[in-house]
Parts: sequence; structure tokens; C-alpha cells
Amino acid sequence: MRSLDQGPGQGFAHLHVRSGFSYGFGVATPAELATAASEMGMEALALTDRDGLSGIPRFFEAAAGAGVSPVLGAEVSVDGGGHLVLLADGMTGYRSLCRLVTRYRCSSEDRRKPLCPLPTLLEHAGGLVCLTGAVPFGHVPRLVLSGRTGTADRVLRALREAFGEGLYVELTDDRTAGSRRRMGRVTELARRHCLPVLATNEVAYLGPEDHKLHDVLVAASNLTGLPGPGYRTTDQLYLKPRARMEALFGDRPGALRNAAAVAERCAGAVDLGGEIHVPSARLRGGETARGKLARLALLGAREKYGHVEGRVRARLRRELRCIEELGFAPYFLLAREAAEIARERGMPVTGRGSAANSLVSYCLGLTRPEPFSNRLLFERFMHEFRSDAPDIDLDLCSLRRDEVRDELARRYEEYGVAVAATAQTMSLRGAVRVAARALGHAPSGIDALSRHVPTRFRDRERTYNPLSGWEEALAEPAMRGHPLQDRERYGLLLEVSGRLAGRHLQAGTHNGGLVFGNEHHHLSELAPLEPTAMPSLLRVQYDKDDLEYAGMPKLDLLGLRMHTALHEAGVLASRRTGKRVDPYDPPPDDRETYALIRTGRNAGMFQLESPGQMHLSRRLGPRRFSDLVAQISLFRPGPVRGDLVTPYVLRKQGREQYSVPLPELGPVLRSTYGVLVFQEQVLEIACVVAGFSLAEGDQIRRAMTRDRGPGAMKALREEFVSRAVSRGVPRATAREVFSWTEGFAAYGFSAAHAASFAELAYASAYMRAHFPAEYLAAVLNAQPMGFYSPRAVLNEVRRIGLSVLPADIHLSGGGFTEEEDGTALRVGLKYARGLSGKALSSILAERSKAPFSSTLDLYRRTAVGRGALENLVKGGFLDALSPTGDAGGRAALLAEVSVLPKKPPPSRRNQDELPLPHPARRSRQKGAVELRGPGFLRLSAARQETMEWESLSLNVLRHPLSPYRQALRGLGVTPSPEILELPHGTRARAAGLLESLQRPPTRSGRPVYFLLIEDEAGLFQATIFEGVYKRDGHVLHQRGAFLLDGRVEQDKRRGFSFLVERVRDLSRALEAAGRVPEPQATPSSGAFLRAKRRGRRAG
Amino acid sequence: MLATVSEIHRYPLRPPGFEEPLFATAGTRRAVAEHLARATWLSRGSELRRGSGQASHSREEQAHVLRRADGRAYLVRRCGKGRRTRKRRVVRVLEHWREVGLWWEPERRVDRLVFRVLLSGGAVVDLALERASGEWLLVGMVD
Repeated sequence: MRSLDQGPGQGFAHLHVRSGFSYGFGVATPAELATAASEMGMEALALTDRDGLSGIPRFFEAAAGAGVSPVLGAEVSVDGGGHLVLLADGMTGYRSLCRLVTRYRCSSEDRRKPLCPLPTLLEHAGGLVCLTGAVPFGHVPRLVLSGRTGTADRVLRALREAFGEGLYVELTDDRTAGSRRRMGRVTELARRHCLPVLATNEVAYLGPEDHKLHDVLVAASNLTGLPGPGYRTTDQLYLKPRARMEALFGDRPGALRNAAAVAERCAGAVDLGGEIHVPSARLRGGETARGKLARLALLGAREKYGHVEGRVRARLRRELRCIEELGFAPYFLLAREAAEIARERGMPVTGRGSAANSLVSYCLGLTRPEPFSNRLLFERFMHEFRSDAPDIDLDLCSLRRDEVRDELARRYEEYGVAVAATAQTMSLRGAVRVAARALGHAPSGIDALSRHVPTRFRDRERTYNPLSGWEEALAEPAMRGHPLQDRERYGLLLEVSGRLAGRHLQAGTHNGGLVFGNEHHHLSELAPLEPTAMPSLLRVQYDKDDLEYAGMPKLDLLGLRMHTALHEAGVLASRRTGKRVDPYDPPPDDRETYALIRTGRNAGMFQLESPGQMHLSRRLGPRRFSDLVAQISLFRPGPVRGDLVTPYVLRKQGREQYSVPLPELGPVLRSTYGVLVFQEQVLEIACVVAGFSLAEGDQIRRAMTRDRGPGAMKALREEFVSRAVSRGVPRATAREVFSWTEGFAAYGFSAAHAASFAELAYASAYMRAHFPAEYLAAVLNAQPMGFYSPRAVLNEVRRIGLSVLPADIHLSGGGFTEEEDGTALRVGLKYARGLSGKALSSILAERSKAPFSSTLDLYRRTAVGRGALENLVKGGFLDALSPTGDAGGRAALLAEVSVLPKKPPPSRRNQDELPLPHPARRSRQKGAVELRGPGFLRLSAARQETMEWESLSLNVLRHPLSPYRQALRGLGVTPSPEILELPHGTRARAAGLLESLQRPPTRSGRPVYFLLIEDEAGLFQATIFEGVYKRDGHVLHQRGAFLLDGRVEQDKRRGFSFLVERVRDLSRALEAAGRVPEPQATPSSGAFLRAKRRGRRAG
Repeated sequence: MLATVSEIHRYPLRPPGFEEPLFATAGTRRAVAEHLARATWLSRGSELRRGSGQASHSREEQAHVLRRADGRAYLVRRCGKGRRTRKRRVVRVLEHWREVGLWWEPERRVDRLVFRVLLSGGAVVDLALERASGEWLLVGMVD
């Protein structure tokens, strides 16, 4: 620390700073703050987010990068009003702060507005420095400025007793009217108590221009319009440079010097990155985690291989030694315990990710692919040189995942268990909604303003559809004719929302990401915990991606709806056949299954159902499990960008020869025809060419896939080349191999992950091939899942020759059911819009006692509300109860429903019977029941299917384009299967309903859009280039059925594609023939645009 | 309702012991309101007689600040029905602050520097320098 005589501001650091992780009370990201502090020449900076430490890992990481010493702290909301600032001066302080935040956040009445009782705060003072809070809203200044000096004195005395020399009276000047006078009052208090004063600026944003964003966020987090609570007419709560702070506190130099002294005391005092906090396992007396793991692994190996000899023994020994050295045995045991809990409850469970590279994982039953036959390498998962914790992800039935999580939480309660948080940021659309609400727009206006605003979505590595601001967004076809194009009228909204996009708004919960404490530290000492919306479920404040930095391994229990579907399909198939059908143990290499995959009609198959995978299935022609593993790996953003698909396909088909630079590479690359598809192959290449160990090979892979800078890569290259040369490899060849590997490594995919998914893909394809009715019924019941809307799946059901039976209140099950010996599916009750789970259960219970005689009878005996009853009528469930006994009588039924009284709310449901409609009203509606008048003519088929579409979002009667066959032919439309066979260069016209519009990454970086439509004959993918999209894209966003003019391309290398030249609205083209019931386009994560699906279903 | 200026000046502006922000809680809001309501010279706006000529609020008023080469500054304003020009020397700047607010209301948005100054003759007024236009406004008479 430099000497203080250099000036009062020397060494000054901001010690009261809120970031966006204050969720509504701060704007800047921790990285922005750290960078700005560094640019201002500050040596230290604190992050004191409100009631939490959520931003700390990112702040520490950013501060290290910016060369700023981080100070860890929090702004604690105190019961009685205002806040105090606590700063940790070491790990003891960090643990105190974690415990304190956990305690008061978990015991506050309102989890969104936690309050810390002062006695609780005083109990956790160890290792902490306390600031009395900013003027005027800090805890102590509030008391002083509202005339409660006696209380202020008492509080200060209590704080001094607890914090001793670590108590400072905080001074801030927000430069509002009277701010100097208020500061004077607080200074006077400090003088009376002989306490040191300390200058801060209560930083809430980066620069003065950001005060608007702060005001909006405060209002948004309080669900109010502007001004939000505690509004101040100031723009001064920004990260002020040292010179400005000196000017502001020129008359109080001691306050600046004390800030510098505290910064020196606390800066860099907390280090979160040093240690990995491995959870503790539950062990019987005398048993060690290592011993238990070895015992269970050997037991599993004997079950799976029948012996523990030879390579199995050697590899188990190697893996167990490494696991023991790194101390992760308890983590494996914990994962196994989760899997065992699932199995005990009859729940399917599989592993995913690189954990499948481990034989120990396989023997413990955590993963399914056999490591030797799939060339899976343990070193890709973990080895002695890796300092980070391994990551085991388990997939469970999505409906019952929480059972496993809760049981684990119960068993490990003594160490502390919580789920990870997710720091959610605003998309541009979200920012429009937040800003519009703050600016006082009505809810309907907010909907209109935010509709069609482009959104973005992310996977782990990149953002898709990135928009840097309004200029780009307003130029998007989706926003043609949008109200926000009126820039003059909505200038302020555009400005604020454009700058809010990407900012933090609130914390979410990663329901399956479990974090555990251990015998050394309860979880609440490792990180602060807070309650979630679910009772008894706690959340770690750190984002799921920040846990690794804090040294906290996470066990992911992920809900996978494919497990839900496969499990149900197995149950249904077993019931029909009378034999046990286990979808997780299908016969290997089933010819019919692979034949079905090769047709490319893969709707409903796990990982194989996207249009790209369907296309690849036809080109690749998989015939064995390894083909499926490669297929799943190839259709990923990396391999697509690296153009690995085409050479792989051509070589597999024998249409292209390949060679490898060295004969040693032959065995490594033979299975993938010389294409480097898997990350594991990089390890093997380093091993066979340069003699690296597999662990060293993994180091090289990691260096290649993460940007380590040119210097590091050069050193790595030289090491590789020199070691290869020493083994007799020509230098030029060694260089060539390294460059070649480096070029491919960035695109490679983990074989272990692909093999895990391929197991499920094969299982789903097997069930689809042999038990299609049961499997597709289960897929429809597990919605929302997969790539396709239920509408498209049901149409696919019809296309593969199964019948779709109409809904019936007495015959329909809760979900879809198979009938007629597996040749038909019947629509389930839970597809009826607005039918609650309770209402559905009551229908099933009551009809088992006696059939329903009328709509009134149903209404009286069940918990079905009037709105839901109307939807049941529209969906065709009550056709048999109509006067005509079929769909034609729905109008009469609707008339009956319309005169029924509304059911009272649950609190008033103590009457035995519903009153009958008023006689006068009944007589007015009498004609309806007697089927008189033009309104009660028999329903046309078109009206019937429109009703079903409105109620079920399904096409039960027929495909919606069936009635327009003639009209479409008249328009020159060619059915999709025929277009696939047209010669290269042919112009054709296609028509269909929207399923999805995607914009995947391309090698060139230029946007290309893939539109998936569905016509009567099947699913059809069309390619739209940028020019056409810009001209006609608005039709895609505003309509749900299209007429596409385009040109067929039959490329020998890439196969078929249909290049769209013009997009038109199909309904308008068919205007004379009638109106197509078309799906509504809606933005969706994972797809740029998707046919709207109903989110919630009953049951 | 009638009161002399000195009576008004003698009445404390806030309850004893109170300091800004005065309206931090509902309790303090009530205390301040009750304190002011006890003043004999204060009326509710709703109780003013229509057309009585009684003003319920003061208006911001354009002003000119002249700076002379010797460092002295003067406040120049027009007042009275005849719009007479009055010129007062700025003796001292007592306090200054920034006001930035209501930016979401085009008609009421504020972005200015406010100076509380002592004028020759003993008056204390608030003068605002508008950031956008560079104009001076007389925004308050304190004493």
C-alpha cells in the first residue's frame, strides 16, 4: 500500500458496489465493473450485492483478468429498514457471511424481500467489516435522519460490540438537495461515538447515463411503474473515478483514507478457487469411501463381464487409483446412490456426458455404453492433471425426477443440499416487456409491443440469432409493420429496452443441479443458500456455471421426457402383448429397427428426429450401433461448421477414398473413415504419434479446444513435434498431423456422450418399429417433448397407417391410449384445453361408477368447469351425448352448456347440487335443444375440425390439408415425397403447415434458414437464403401455412435440398376454397420459430 | 388563514429532530403532514376558494444571471404587473445539488444543477441551471 501522504484519495477503492446480481438494484455486470475500475487505475474494488453473493465467482474471475484485487461483501437488508454493508477480511468472514445470508434469507417471510434481524447479524460478525449503510437509506442513517437518534445510538453501540475495530460509519453524497446536510448529521453521529467515517458512493451503475436503467429495474423488481419505491432524483450512483471522489470528500479526507485502509485489509483476502469441496458420502462404520467404491465397482464388473480379469481389472485399478488420488470417490458414491434411489422406485435412469468414458461409472450402473467396445477413454473424463471436478449427469424420468432429488436432500440434510441457481438475463423481447411496464403501458399494449420482437437463444457455447441492437432488430422481417417502427413515438422505450437487453433481472432455479456440503463444511458455509418457490427446496446463490469456480462439484439429475415416454411405452406394450417388454433392453442389431431409421421417417425417435438427422439417416444408412454413435456426433454445430458430415458420408458409402498421414493413425481413425469425429480420437492420436500418455493427450485436446493464445499453442506444437520425431516420425509429417488434429479438435464431439444418447436413440427406434401405437401414444402423453408439435406427431401416426379414434368421454383415457390390438390411438382427455388435473381425475372416477347421461349430469358430478366443459364439447368428447349422437349435434350441446350456471369458487362449494338454469333463460334457449334454427344445423366437417383444433390443438378428423387436395393441385402444388425425387434444377411448388424455422450456425457465417413444413404426405424441409428471407420472412412470422416456390437441388455430395425463391400465405392463396386451420408461429428456444404448442396439460 | 411573513418564517419547516429524507416511511410521512397541518397559515389546495386569487403553488420563473469581470454575479428578474426589472447581487452560494428525474415524463422531466444562493437584501433563493438549454430558472424562494 502506498503511503497516505500522497493524497487523501490514494489507494481509494469503492467498497459499496452493486452489480446486476442484486437483481433489480444494480445494472452493471461484475466484469464491466472490474474492467472500469482497472481503467480508472483503482487497485481494488468491492462487490456488495444486495442480500447475496450471487455475482462473486464472476467478479473474482473478472477482477483477476483486469488486475484488480477483489473485495467480497454484501449489502444486507436489515429488519427495521435500510441496509448495512458487510465486507469479508478473510475466509472466516466469507463463511460468516454465507451463514448469515443463508439464515436470514431462509427465515424471512417474503423470500423476495428478505430482512435480517439485527441480532442475527450481530451473531455472525466474525471476520467481517461493517459499514453503517449509505446516506440516506442505510440502516443507521435512516434512524439518524428520521430523528430516532436514541435508537441509532443503541444500534451503533451493538454494532461496535460485535464488529469492534471493523465498524465504520459510511458517508455517501448522492448530490440531491440536502445531501451535504444529511451527511453532516451522520458525520456528527460518528464523531459522538468516536467512530471512523468511510467514503463510498453506493454504486448501482457504471456511468451516469445508466441511471434510467437502474430506475426501470427497481420498478420492475417491485412490479410497479416508474417511479419505483425509494426513487431518488439522482444520476450520481455510478462508479466515480478517484478524482471525483476526492472532490466530493475534499472536506473529509479521513473518509477517503479509511476506504483505502479497509480496501487494503480486505482486498484479495478471500480465495474461492483453491479447493474442491467434494461432498461426503454416507458410509457404514469403519468403511472408507475408497473401499466402498472399489467394492461396488468390482461387484458391478462381475455382473457385467462375469469376471474381473485382464483388461477389466487393469482398467478398474487405474481408474480407482486416479479417483482416489483426486479424492472424488464420495462423488461417485453419491451419483450411484441417486441412480439406486431411482431404480428402487422403478424409474429409468441413464448417464450422459463424458462420465460414460469411465469403466467405474459403467460398473456402478451410472452409464450404459460399454467402454471397451465403444473405444471410450477414462482420461477424457478425468485424470491426474485435471484440477477441476468431474461432472456426472444422470437422466431420469422427467415426471419423477424430483422424487430422487428430494430423497437425496433428505438423506444428506446434515451436510446441506441445495440446487444451483441460474442467473437469467433479459432478451430484447423481455427488455421491451420490462421497460414498457415501467413506463406505464397497459398489459394489452405490452403484449402488442413485445410480439414479434426477435429473441435470441443460447446453448452452452454460443448465442444464436444474435442481435446487437434495435437497428438490426427493426430490420428483421418479423418486425415489418410493427408498432415499434414508430421510432418517434416509442423512442424512449426503444432506448431503454435496447440498453436493458442482456442485463440481469432475476435468479432462476436449476431444478436438477444438486450441490452438497461435506463433513468439513456445511453447504451454507461454502456458499449462501436461499429458498426457492418450492417449499423446502433450497438454492445455492451461485449460477450453475459458476459452481466450478467456487470448487463445488454439481450432480445433475436431469429430467428427460424420453425416459417418461419409453417407460410408458414399455408398460403399454407389456399390457397388450402379455409379455414383459423392456425398452431399455432391446435386442441388439435389430434389422427392422435400422431399416426404419434408414427410411428417414424418424419422428418421435430420440436424437434422430430432427430434419437434419432424418436427412442424414437416409444418406448415412446406419446398420449398427457405432453408425448411430457417429450419426449423433456428426449432426452437431461443430461438425457441421467443420464440414465433417460430407466426407464421412462419402467415405462410408465408398464414393471417396481416404488416406491417413501415418500408418499408426489407421486403427484410430478406421471406425470413422479417416474423419476425426470424436474428442477421444485426439487423445489416441497424441498417444500413438508422439508417445504422450492419454492424460497428456487430454491436456492437448483441452488446449486445442479452449483458446490458450498463440504462445501456448506454439509450445504445445513444438513438444508434440519433437516427441514424434524422437519416435521416428518425419518432422514435416508430425507438423502436418498436429495441424490437422488442431483443425479438427475444435469440432469434435465426445464419443461417450454420443454413445449414451445412441443407446436411447436405438431404444426409441426399436419401440417405434415394433410397438408403434404404444410408443407414439407415450410420446404424445409426454408432451411437450421432442422436435415436433403433438399435431405433427398425430398426423405422423395417421401416415404410418394407424387409425386415430375420436375423443369420447367414456372411452378416452387420461392421455392417448392404444386400441384395436395396437392399430389405433384414441385422443386422451388431457388434451382438452382448460381441463384441470382435478377435473380429469373426477371424470375418470365418476364414469367408473356410472356413465354420464348428459352434459348437465357430467357437470354436476365432476369438477369440470363451464369453460372446460365447452372445450370437451368442441373436442368431440361428448358427441355421444348429443341429440344426434354424433359430431353433428355439438351446436346443441354448446347451447346446453351456455345456459349452465357458473360453478362457485372452491370456498363456496358446500352445496349439494348446482341450481338449474333460470326458467326464463331455459325457455329462451329451448329452441337450441330442439335443434331448430339455422344455428343448429348439423356441423360441417370443416366446422367440426376447426372446433377440435381450437379445443385440442390436434387434427383428429383428418389432416387439415386433406380437403384442399384438389385446390392445391389446381395451384400446381407437388406433394413433398414427389419433390424429393425431382431431378436437379426442377422448379416446384410446395405447400404445408409451419412446424419450425431454424437458423443454425453455418460454416460461412451467413444466415441460412431451414423451414420445416408438414403437408398431407409428410414433413418437408426447405432452405431459405438471406435475400428471400428478408423479402418474404414476415409471412413466416405472421402466418402458419405457406405456399413455397423453389428449385430442387440434387447434389451428389450433400444430397437433396429445396431452395425457396418465394414464400406466400397459403390461406390467402386458397381463399376461394376455404380457410386452413393453421398453427400460430411462436418464437422458441432451440428453434428460431415454432408452431405454437400448448404449454400446460391437465393430469 | 391570514398570517404575517414572520409568523410563517417562525414556524419550523419540519418536526423537531427530523432531517431529509422526510418521507422515508409511512410513519414519518404522517408525522410531517400532521406537523404542517397544525400550522395556522397553511391550507389544503382543495379548500381554496375558486377565483379567490389565492395561489396553491409557485411557478418556476425565467431568470438571468449576470457575471461581471470582477467575479460578482447578479440575479436579474422581471416581476410585478409592470414587469419591472429587479437586480440583486449573489452574495454567496449556500449549497448546490443536482436534480435528475422524471425522465420518463416528457413534460416534467428535470435535468439541472440547482444553487441555493443568498442575495443582497437577505433573500435566499434556489436558482436552477437547465442542462439541456443552459437557461437559468428561479425555482424556489427559501427565505
